[in-house]
Amino acid sequence: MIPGLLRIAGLCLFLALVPEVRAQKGFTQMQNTTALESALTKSAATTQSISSDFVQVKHMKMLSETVNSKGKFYFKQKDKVRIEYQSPFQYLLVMNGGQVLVKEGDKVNRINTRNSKTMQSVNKVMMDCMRGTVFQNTDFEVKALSSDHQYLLVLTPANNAMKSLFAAIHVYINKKDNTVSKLEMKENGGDYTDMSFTNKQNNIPLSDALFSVR
Amino acid sequence: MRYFLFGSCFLLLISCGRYPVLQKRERDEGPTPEQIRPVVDRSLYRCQVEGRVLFKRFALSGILLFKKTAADETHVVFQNEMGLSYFHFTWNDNDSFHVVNIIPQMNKPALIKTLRKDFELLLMIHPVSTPVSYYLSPEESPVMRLSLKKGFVDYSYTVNPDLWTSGILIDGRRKITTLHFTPSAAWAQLPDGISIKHHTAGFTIDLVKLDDQ
Repeated sequence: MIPGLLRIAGLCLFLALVPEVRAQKGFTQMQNTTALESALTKSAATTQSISSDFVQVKHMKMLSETVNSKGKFYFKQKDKVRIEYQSPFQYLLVMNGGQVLVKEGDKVNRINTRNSKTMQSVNKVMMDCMRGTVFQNTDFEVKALSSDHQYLLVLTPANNAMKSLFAAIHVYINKKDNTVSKLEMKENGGDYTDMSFTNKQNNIPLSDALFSVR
Repeated sequence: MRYFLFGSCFLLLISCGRYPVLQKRERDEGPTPEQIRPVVDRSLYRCQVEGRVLFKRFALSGILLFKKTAADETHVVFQNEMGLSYFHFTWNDNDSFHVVNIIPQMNKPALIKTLRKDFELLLMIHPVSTPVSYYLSPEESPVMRLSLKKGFVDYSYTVNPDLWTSGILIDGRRKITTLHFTPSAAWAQLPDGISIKHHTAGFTIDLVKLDDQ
């Protein structure tokens, strides 16, 4: 009786772990992340700007359905991000310091992230990914894994505000240039959104006007 | 164009004051609710919400998905531009409502009830036994009325071409919610542009259909 229950418990535990195992296939956990942290910081210091295309896919588990969008992504040191959704809708998000500008058609909204804990936290994750300071983000516990070609940083929310938004955020980093190749934002209900970056160009001149929030 | 003007005048009139008493008529060539009820397969909309709470304005935007599954369940999912879900509602094959998930900031019974009514109004989710009657607006455009437990819903439509132009939820004598379609949609189809105005809750939802396929 007891061994039977143990087998069932073991199976349940295995099934509960299956999504994580599948998501991290080919990756092994890094015991010591000091060298990685230092490499990311060093690479980020030499990356003054990033221009990239992105494809975003929202996966809805219950519906076996995806919602796709794509656009352009720009980053400029030390705290400027521009995300331009171009298809299937036009939407612009600019983060510059503590300010966020959202533009859609003629409508413009300016948000001070200092007044919004959630926006501040999301803003911080984006910036940390680009600046190589993910390990210093206190909103998340960070676990690092490694494969032949990529690092995978698994960010687990460490506070209630983040826990209400995300089950985890997975950051895939290309080992060749230590830049982010994919972000996976996992929700508590099992849905997740991945954002893949392609046609990356580092250190090309980007005008400050691209990041204007005025 | 003529039908559009009729519909617009009707909407303008009812938005200016108390809901008028409409002239009752026989059904004649008017549709049944089942003929107008939109058939949902998969539709994606750009969604913008604007409103005011006391003196503070708020705005929210994202993507709204309508999808019917093989199990005959209708799902409505609202997510922000970055893919994070705000809410996921579903109605099963018996039109029974269920909240699959909702973010804590929106998890308020009054808000869920309002949103549920909006989608039930748009998707014409009403009990089969709901009494149906037919009226003429002051501009003599045809109106189909579904009587609810509390209040009623008036849908404006045209025949030949077979279109529906608006839906209005009236609670007693007050307008609660107005749906307006731009352009008018064919019967049994979800409109390309939908404006949902909450007269008492103080916010509007604007939907524009997207083509992502």
